[in-house]
Amino acid sequence: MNVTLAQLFSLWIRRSMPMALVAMLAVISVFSIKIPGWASVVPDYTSMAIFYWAVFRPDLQPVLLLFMIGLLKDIITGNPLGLTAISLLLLHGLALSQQRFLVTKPFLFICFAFMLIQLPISILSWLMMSVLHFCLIAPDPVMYQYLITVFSFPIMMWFLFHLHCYVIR
Amino acid sequence: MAKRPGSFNSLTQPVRSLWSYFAFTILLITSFILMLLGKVDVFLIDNARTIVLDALAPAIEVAAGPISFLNKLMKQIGDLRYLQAENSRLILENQQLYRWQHIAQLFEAENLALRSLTNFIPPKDVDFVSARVIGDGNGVFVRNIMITAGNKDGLTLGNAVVSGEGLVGGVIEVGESYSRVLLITDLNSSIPIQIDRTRDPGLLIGDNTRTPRIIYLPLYSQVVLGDRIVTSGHGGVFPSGLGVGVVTMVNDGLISVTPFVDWERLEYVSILKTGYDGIARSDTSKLLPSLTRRPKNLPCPSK
Repeated sequence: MNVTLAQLFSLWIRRSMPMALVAMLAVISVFSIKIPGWASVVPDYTSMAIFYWAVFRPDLQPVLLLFMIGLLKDIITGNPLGLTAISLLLLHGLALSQQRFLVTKPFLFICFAFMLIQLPISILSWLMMSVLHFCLIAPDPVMYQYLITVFSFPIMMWFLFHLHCYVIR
Repeated sequence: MAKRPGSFNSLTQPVRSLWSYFAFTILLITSFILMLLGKVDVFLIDNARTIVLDALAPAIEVAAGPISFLNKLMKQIGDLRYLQAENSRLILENQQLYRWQHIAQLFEAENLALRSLTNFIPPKDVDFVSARVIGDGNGVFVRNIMITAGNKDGLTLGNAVVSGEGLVGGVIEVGESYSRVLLITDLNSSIPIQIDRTRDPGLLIGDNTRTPRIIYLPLYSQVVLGDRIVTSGHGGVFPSGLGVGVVTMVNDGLISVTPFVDWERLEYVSILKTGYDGIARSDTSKLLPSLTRRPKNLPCPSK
């Protein structure tokens, strides 16, 4: 079968879409939608996308790129370098360990699994940040972000599912 | 077909399979090492951060356009709801402000007369530049903003950043055209302040919430709700007299301050060119802990 250059290019674009999207979401996380009276906590878009791709297309999510996106996000948001990289790698690893089990499960079950897997990751990043500051930092923002992330996951999953079906295939 | 013994693929194959096996662990360990190196303030890491930030900032600036439009739209919708109530409040406030204006004019005349009487030398006017806020890293653990002014505009580490309402924070990373500002609400921020009414000095420390706290006030200091907090100028980094906020909670020795700055509507800031001009990174220990990145001996806010 003859594969033209255009077809190869199209395939390459499709296959790089998940990681390009994750990188874009990492950049977007520097902006917060300012709702008056609302805590300035942005949902963790990057974690949602990484969880989805780890479950449905782990072949398109190389760990080296995840590491680099984690560093990029740390630099953009001003976090200690490496903190987000650790969280993203662990999230990918945990999701991947359950991938065979999760891939066949219904929509709501996957949302529930994300809720369970994201919890220890959030606690761990809070602990790491506390250790870096030699004191227990207020847990409220982490808790709020966890809740916002978990509750917005179904919307993100719906979007990623359509992207997966119609663009990446 | 058998592979040629000396082919490139056959040479790299063992490395690739080793990498695929250990990649996860190697990258995890590398992340930990980077985090520790960042903690001990390695010059290379700070420099790399600034370079990457400078390279990415134009893209962030472009992306900030639609987000800022969306925020303005939401603000307008919010404002419409309270238009009538806001109008009545403003009429009342305007009447009060006229009274204050009259008092201020009297004080100004008196002040000028007293200054000429005592041969007072006024402080030099502070040079400043204004910049747009392009990104707010209001993540879970940090409170900082990115601004469109940098080295080429004469910014240096430690410059005070103010908005029309009051003190916003201090410059902690200076790129060529972009900088990062640590907000006064950040966990790493500690600013010498004083109570405007009693002139009692203290330290305002951020704890990542919207209401930073005051510590190290003199014993028997009488702080009451509504006291204005201004910078004291101690340490010589921030100029004195910059409005910071107002005391909104006094409870069991815990004094919380609500900053004057409206964080939801922070679009433009002015950077006062004060502080230690042209300070080198290795000399940052001479600066206040708040103005060095991630100080080692930070007072714990939870204490």
